[in-house]
Amino acid sequence: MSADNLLYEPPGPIARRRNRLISVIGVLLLLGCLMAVGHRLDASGQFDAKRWEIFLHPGTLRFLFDGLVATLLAAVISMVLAFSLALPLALARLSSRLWLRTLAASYIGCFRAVPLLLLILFTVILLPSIGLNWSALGYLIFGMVLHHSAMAAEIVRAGILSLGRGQKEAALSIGMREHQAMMWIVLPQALKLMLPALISGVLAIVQDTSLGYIIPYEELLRRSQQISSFAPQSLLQSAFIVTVMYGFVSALLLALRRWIERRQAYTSRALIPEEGELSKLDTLVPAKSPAST
Amino acid sequence: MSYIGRFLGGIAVSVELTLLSFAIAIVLGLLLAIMRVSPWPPFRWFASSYVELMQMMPLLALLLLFTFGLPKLGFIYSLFTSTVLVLGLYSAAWICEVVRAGINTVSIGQIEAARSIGMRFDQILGEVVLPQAVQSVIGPLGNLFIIQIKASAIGAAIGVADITYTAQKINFDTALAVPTFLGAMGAYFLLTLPAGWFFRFLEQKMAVLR
Repeated sequence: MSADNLLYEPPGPIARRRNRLISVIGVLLLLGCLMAVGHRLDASGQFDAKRWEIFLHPGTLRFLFDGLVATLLAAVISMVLAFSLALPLALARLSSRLWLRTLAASYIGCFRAVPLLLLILFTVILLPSIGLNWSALGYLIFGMVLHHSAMAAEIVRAGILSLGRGQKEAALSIGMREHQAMMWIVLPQALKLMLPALISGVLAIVQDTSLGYIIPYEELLRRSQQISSFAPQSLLQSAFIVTVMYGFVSALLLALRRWIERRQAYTSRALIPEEGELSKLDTLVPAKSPAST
Repeated sequence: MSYIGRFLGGIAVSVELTLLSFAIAIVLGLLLAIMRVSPWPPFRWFASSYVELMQMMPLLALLLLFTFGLPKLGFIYSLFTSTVLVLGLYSAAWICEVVRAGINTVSIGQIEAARSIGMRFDQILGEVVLPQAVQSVIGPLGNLFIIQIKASAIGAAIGVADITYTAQKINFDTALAVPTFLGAMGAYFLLTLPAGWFFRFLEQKMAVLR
C-alpha cells in the first residue's frame, strides 16, 4: 500500500519525537489492556493447571481432532459442489436467453438474500417431509451448497465482467463461436482474476460449517461445547483451543490468497481489466467475504 | 393472523440488531481504519491484528464465547446485548477494510497536494481524504449493511427472537413448514430490498463526476 504511507510527510526531528511518544503511549495502552484481561483471567483462575489438564488427555485431543476433520469434510464437499454449480449459474446469469437469465438471477437473488442459518434450519425441516432422510452432514451440505453456489456465482460473474470486452471481441473476430470464446479465452483469464475472491469464498465456507452446531452436526465448534459441558471448568480453555484450530485453517487460506495475489502482481500484467472493474471486485470482496450467515 | 404479528415482532428485533450493531461497527471500523493508516506503528499493528483475528474466527464461535464464556469472568449481558456486541465487533473488521480500500481510491495527487501545503496527518485525513473516500465507500458499505441484516440471524442460534427464531417457533406451533419458510424469506426481502435501494440512492447522490 504505497498510498498508506503518503498520508503524512516524512517526519522531521520534532515530529519523530512526537511520534515516538505517541507510539510509546499506544504500546502502554495495549499492554495495560492485555494485563487487565490477563489479571481478570488469572483472578478467576483460568490459568490453573486443572482447567487445562483435560487437554493433555489423548482422548480429548482425538475428540477435537475428529471435530476438525468433520469440519473440513463438510467444507470440502460443500466447496466442490457449490463451485461446480456456480460456473453454470454464472454463465446462465450472463446468457443472452431471457428465461435462462431470469432463472439464474432469481436463484442467486433468493439464496443470497436469505441467511444461511435460516436455510439450514429449514433444510432440516423440509427435506425429511419430502422423504429425504439424510444425516446431519447431508442437511448441512445441502443448505451450504444452496447459499454458497449463489455467492460464488456472483464472484464468477464479477470476474467474467471484469475482463475487458476486447478479449471476447478479439476471439469472436478471429472466428470463434460464443461458447468457444468463453471457454478458451474469457474463462481461463477470468478464473485467474477471481482466484483470490474464490479463496475468500472457501474461507467463508470453512467458517460457515460452524453452523452445523445447531443441526446438530458433530463439527469442531459443537465438539468444543461438548467438552465444556463435560468439563465445565474448562469452557474458556476449550473455546481458546478451538479458536486456534479455526485460526490455523483460516491463516493457511489467507496466506494462500496473499501468495496468489503477489504472484499475480507479476504474472498477470497481460490481463488488463476494464478500468475500475477490478478494484470494484476488490472492494466488494475484502480479504475474506464477511460472514454470510 | 397472529402469526403475522409474531413475524412483525421478529422483523423489529432483526432491525434493532442490525441497526445497533452496524452503528457500533461503523464507529469502531472507522477508528480501526484511521489507526491502520496512522504514522504510529503500535496502532497500525493493533488494527491489522484485530482485522486478521476477526477474519479467522467463525461468527458463531465468537458469539458462543461471549454468551457462555464471559459470564465465567463475571461479565453478564443479556442475549440481545451480546448479539449486538458480537455483530458490531465482528463487522467492524470489514468496515475497516472497506474504508481502507476507499482511502486507497483517493488519488495520490490529492494527498500530495495536501502534504505540500503543509497539512498534518489529521487534517489530510479529515479534510481531504475521508470526504473523498466517502463516495467510493458507500457502495461496499451498502453491501456490508445487507450482509449485516443476514448475519443478525446468528442471534437465533442462542435464542434472540429475530425473524429466523420466530419462524422456527411458528413452525413448531403450526407444522406449516413451507409457508413459514416463505414468510421468513419474505421478511428478509422486506428488509434487504429497501436497504439496497437506499444505498443505491445514496451512491447516486454522492457520485462525483471526475
